[in-house]
Amino acid sequence: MAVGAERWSRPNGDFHTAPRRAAAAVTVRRSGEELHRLRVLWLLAAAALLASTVWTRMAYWQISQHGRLSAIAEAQYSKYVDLPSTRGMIYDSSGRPLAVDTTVYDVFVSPSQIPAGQREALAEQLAAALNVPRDPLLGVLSSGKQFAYVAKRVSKTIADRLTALQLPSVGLQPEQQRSYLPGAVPGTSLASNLLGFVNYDGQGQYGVEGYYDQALAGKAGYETTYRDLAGNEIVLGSRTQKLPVNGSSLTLTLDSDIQFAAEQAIAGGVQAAHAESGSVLIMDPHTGGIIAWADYPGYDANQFQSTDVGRFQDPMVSYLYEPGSVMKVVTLAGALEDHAITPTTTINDPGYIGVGGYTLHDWDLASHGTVTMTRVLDDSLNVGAVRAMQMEGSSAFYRNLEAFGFGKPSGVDVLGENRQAAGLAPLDQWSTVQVATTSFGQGIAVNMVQMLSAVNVIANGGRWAQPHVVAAVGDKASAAASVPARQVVTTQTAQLMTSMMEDVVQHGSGWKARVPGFQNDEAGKTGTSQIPQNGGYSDQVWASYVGFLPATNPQFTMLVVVRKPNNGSSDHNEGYYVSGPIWKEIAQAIVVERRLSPEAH
Amino acid sequence: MPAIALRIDRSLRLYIAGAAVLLVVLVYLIQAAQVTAASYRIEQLQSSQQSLVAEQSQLQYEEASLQAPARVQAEASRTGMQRAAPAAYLPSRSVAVNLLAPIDGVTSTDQPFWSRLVAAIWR
Repeated sequence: MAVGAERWSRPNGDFHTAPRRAAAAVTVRRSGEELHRLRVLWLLAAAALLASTVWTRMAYWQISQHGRLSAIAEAQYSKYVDLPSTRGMIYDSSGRPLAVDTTVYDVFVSPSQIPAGQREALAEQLAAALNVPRDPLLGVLSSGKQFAYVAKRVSKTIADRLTALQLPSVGLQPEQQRSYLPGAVPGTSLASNLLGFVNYDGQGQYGVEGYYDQALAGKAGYETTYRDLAGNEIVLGSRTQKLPVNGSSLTLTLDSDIQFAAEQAIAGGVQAAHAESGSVLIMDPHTGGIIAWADYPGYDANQFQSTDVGRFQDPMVSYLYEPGSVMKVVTLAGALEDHAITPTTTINDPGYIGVGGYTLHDWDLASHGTVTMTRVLDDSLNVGAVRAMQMEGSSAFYRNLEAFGFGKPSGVDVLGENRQAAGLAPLDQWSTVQVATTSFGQGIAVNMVQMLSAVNVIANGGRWAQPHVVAAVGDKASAAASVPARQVVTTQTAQLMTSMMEDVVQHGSGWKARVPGFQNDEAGKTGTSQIPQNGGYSDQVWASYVGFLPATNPQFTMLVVVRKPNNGSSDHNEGYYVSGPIWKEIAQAIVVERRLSPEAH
Repeated sequence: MPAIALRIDRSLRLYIAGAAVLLVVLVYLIQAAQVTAASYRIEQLQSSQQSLVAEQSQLQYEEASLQAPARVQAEASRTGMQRAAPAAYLPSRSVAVNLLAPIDGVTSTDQPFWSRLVAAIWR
């Protein structure tokens, strides 16, 4: 046995071997710590690797994808909401509403969310609440669609009923709807042609609604709000908001009661005369404010979606007509103003006159002998009107036409005035016979507003007043109402012409329009004009009557036009016969309404 | 002993700091909850306001409809009322009356004022 081996094999007690063994133990311990440290390091490294992976991923989402994710999150909990402005109301001259915005509701369902077993019961309940047949509703509920409307524009009463039922998958969407008052004729709304309507997009169409759409509509706003998972708005969260500016209300010059009376009278008159249509326009002589604007047939602006589009065109401003003998008021007033005639100037009227190679006749084709200009107006003699124009001269006559407002559109504040056709061609383009026929209202096309404004010059002491419908936008006077009146003829001329028009009522063709008690204080003029057709004239006519009352202190000027009356005989289609009584009926209503009394003569 | 006291003191500070943080968090949470609750309440009130505005506009229209001439006439007809006959006026004629002329043909210069006054009383 080797010594060394013995030393090594002897445990304990040998002082030579103990330090070596201790050193060996330290070495082992050190290698264990080393291992332990290595393991820790490995773990740390692994943890760091994992952490860095997570951090890298987090950095990817938080930094690199921040913008995109924020946008997605924003879209989930924030909502952009339009804040509609409230449309202004429309009032009549007494402050009574004519057009009001009401809230109606669209009813929708989510058919895909309705279990098959519940569809029948839901259809029953919906049908009962909406007062509609059940089967079509069941069809919608069984369609499996995500979204479907079951009713549109139902009233708040029905909406409240549905809300109380708490039907599953049924929702209500509020909408604004313009509502108009009922008119004088069943199935129409009051002053429908004048007011126009507001379509489902909230845009004013036709009439006053169209003309003043911007002022009435105001400006819509918006807001961005935050909502929770259930869709409830978190009002106190951060939000961006632009408040809407509500529209201005309009105050019209219209009088509802007189408008109603005018609608009734024109409807009755048109029906009685078997005519195609008719219109009444009433104006305040001093301001030019329109008191009534009635058409027959009208339409129901509350049901515009089911109305023939042709009905929306307003005959007063959109259509032109030949005014006929009503124009003699303008012709004779111009001649009086230019001192070419006086009311007592006499002419010889053989019943016809040759002009430019044509022969023009009086309406009755009869000879009248020597007649005064007053008689010319009384009996509506065409020859007399042509002679008055000739005495005045065509240039002066043309200038008078322009001064009376025929050279340009009337400028009335209602959408749809036929602006191109409402002007006059230069005089050098007129033939001699055209100038002559224009003196008695044929061969010239005007609209009713222009014609009434021209006659109103006589009622207003010789001043032309701007015709307008809107007196105020909000609390400010409308632009049209602020236009100053302009002097067209002198007060003396207007007074002379008034006397001649009074004579028409007392001794001439206006006898059917005499208002009891006002016979000596009423001014008027009849008119009948043939309707052009295929380059000539047809047998059909426009029958009209214009006048003002009381003649000495006019409170209203009124023009009645009936289109294509069909009373059997041509005499019974004349303006005096067809339109005179309508004028009288409305005038009587105004006398009662405004408590008018005649002046003593 | 000082070491133990120091350790207790340090723990206490830690607890107090923890409690303070907790308190701040609690206050924040309570406030946030109240804000959310108030927010829901405001939304309910807004919804209620919208409903009332809708009802108001409905009533406005109903009021206007009740005053509408068509409605007035229908109601009048239903209750048997009839349209009033147009007012009848009699044409007047000028009468030559001198309102300044003295009564009984006595001119004002015939008698003194006091005499006319006495005469008016005793007449």
